[in-house]
Amino acid sequence: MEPITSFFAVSVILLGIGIYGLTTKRNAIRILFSIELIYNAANLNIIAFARLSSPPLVTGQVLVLFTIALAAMEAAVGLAIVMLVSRLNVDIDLRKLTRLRG
Amino acid sequence: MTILPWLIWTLPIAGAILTPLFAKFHGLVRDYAAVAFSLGAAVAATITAFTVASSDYQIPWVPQLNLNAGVLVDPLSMFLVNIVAWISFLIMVYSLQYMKKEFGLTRYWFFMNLFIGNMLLLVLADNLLMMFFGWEGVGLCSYALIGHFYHDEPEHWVGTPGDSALGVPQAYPPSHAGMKAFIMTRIGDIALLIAIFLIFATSTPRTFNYVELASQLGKTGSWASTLARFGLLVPTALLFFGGPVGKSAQFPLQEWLPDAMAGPTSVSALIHAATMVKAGVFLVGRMGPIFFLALLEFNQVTPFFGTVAWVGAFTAFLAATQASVAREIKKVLAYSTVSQIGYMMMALGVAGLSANFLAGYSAGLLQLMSHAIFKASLFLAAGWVIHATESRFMDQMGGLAKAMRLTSVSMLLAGLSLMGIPPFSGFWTKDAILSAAFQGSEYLLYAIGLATVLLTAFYTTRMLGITFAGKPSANVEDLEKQGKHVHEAGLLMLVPYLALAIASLGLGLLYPLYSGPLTNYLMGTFQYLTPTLLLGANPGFSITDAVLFAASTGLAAVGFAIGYLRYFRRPYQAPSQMKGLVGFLWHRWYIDAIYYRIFVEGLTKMSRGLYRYVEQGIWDKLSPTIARDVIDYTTASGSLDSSVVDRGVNDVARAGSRFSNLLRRFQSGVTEQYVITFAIGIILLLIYMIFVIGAR
Repeated sequence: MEPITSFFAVSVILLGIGIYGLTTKRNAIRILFSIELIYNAANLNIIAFARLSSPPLVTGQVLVLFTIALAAMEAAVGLAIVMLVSRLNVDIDLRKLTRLRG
Repeated sequence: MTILPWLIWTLPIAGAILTPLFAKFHGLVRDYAAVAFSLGAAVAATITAFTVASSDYQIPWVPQLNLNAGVLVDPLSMFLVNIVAWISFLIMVYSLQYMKKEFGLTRYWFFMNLFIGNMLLLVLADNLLMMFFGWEGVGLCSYALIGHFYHDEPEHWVGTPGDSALGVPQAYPPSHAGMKAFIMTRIGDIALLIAIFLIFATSTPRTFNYVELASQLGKTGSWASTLARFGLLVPTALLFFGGPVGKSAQFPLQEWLPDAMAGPTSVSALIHAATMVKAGVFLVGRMGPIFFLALLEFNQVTPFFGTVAWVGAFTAFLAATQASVAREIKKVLAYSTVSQIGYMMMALGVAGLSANFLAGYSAGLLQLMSHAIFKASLFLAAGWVIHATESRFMDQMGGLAKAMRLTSVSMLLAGLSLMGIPPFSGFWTKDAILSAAFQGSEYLLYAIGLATVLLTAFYTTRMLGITFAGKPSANVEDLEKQGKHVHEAGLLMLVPYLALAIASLGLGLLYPLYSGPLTNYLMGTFQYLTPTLLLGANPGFSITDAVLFAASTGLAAVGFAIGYLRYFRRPYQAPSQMKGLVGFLWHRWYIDAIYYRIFVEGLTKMSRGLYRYVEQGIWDKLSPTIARDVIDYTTASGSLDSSVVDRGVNDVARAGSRFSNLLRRFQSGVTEQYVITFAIGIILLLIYMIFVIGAR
């Protein structure tokens, strides 16, 4: 098995878990986790391509550093929203958050 | 300095446009600004006459048509522009006081300035098209100003209330008079317009310009020869003359002018002395020489100039007889204007008939000048008399000489000029016309002219006698009892008419000095327009002239004597019934009534007949069948509508609604569904990329 295939396999598994979580879970925190998994699937892909290309590129790693930072910020904002929602609503079931529906 | 000639006519028009703006500040600003603009035009006119060389100053107007706008500075236009602008200015000054307490003053000043501007435009225009703009502008302004008192209060009516001729009421409200003026002059204007386009269409290259039209004459294929080939040259000239006939109130379109008295007196003065009626004379003066050369080439001079001369002479006599019986002071003056304009037309006609074109031509134009001056004076003075006595009827005045000495002196001076008593200016110019007719061997025209002299002297004396001599009438005494003392006019009103009356005397005294040079100056018009007309010099004074002078002065004296004995010596009693000859003259030879009978009632009757026989007789009988057909047709088309058209539309709508319902399911707002859709989309995309694109 070529090295890149194993990277892809992990990446696809991560993506699959992420999408599964997004579609089935109702808890806001779990959904945030799932999003984080999808992010990491993408990151892993980028790093793998950069590392295995010839000659190897650094740009992949640099780009991924930025994505991690962005993901952290996104998670922070997301968690803050979830916390506020939990304070207002007690429940954080996304199906029940219908106040903003038009 | 080429801007100066343009300023002459643009200044009053600019003043008119700015009048509503000035009115926002204060009534006085508006009034004095309007007068200032007319003064500006007069000053520009005088400076132009003395400093600007005779030429055609043009600017491009419509390049596609090769059409230029231009002002033609030549002796004729300068001569007329100065008369018009200065007399208009004096009338404007007079209006300051005369119109003080009237309503609608912004409208009044606007139209007065527009009137003057359009008149100056029509005189200065170097082509027929621009001239026509001014011509119609003058018509519009006269309509608006004659109908100024459009509330139609009884004191502003014209004519004797209750009077009727042939069943036609002979008293008109101002709005009616304005309309009458507009419609009657329109008849002539249509003829004029046809003539202008005939000339334009046949000229090669096409042009409206006077100078170019004149220079095309005598060449092969000129407009004159083209028109002559179709036998249209004389008809075109006569159609052209139709415009002046309407505008200058000549027979058969003279009936609007006496009723135009319904406007404010200052407006009447403007119409009679400076603008409007002089426009017709000017146009004949402008195109006369050109037509003369055109007609001379094809030996057709007599029909056209004969018509001009005879229309003029007949109108002069006709109106003079009517003036002899009129009751209203303004109407006497109105008839007299018609009569005097008739003299001018006769002179211009005689010019073409006689060997010496210049004699009749200059006589007509000089008569225009002296008439403008004394008629303006007479009208302005009459305006004050009417205002002071609160009546327009002369038999409700009487004995005013004591109360208003200067006004009566002014009217006497101007009246003597109108009568043609030496040495007033009216004497010289009227005599020049008569002598031109006599020297041109037109003895019948001369005889009619002489008869008119007698009548003119008679009706002028009659007017002065009834108004100023004798004892005050009951009306004046009533006014005195009410404490409304009949007194002299204020300075702003008195000065204009007194100055004009004195000018009339002064110009008469100086006439032997300036007539020669002025005639030579006017001859410069031909130099510019039609050089071949420079034939025949002034023959100078002869025994014949002396005899003619004596004849006309003698007849004027006879007329004066009859008038004096009848109206100065005896108190005037207005006849209770107008019968016989007096009734015939009083009712304007029944011409007015006949026009009303034929045209106004004819139209009404025709419309009624159409209503009764066509509308009720044919259409109303046809309409039930038509209506049934229409209903059947509508029902049929209605069912077609609901079965075919409506159904199609409904089906389309239903299909749209179904499709929307389908789409609606995707818009669930449930995030998971969106994610799944998104994931399925990506998977499909991947499959496509791997198995379709990758397989290539």
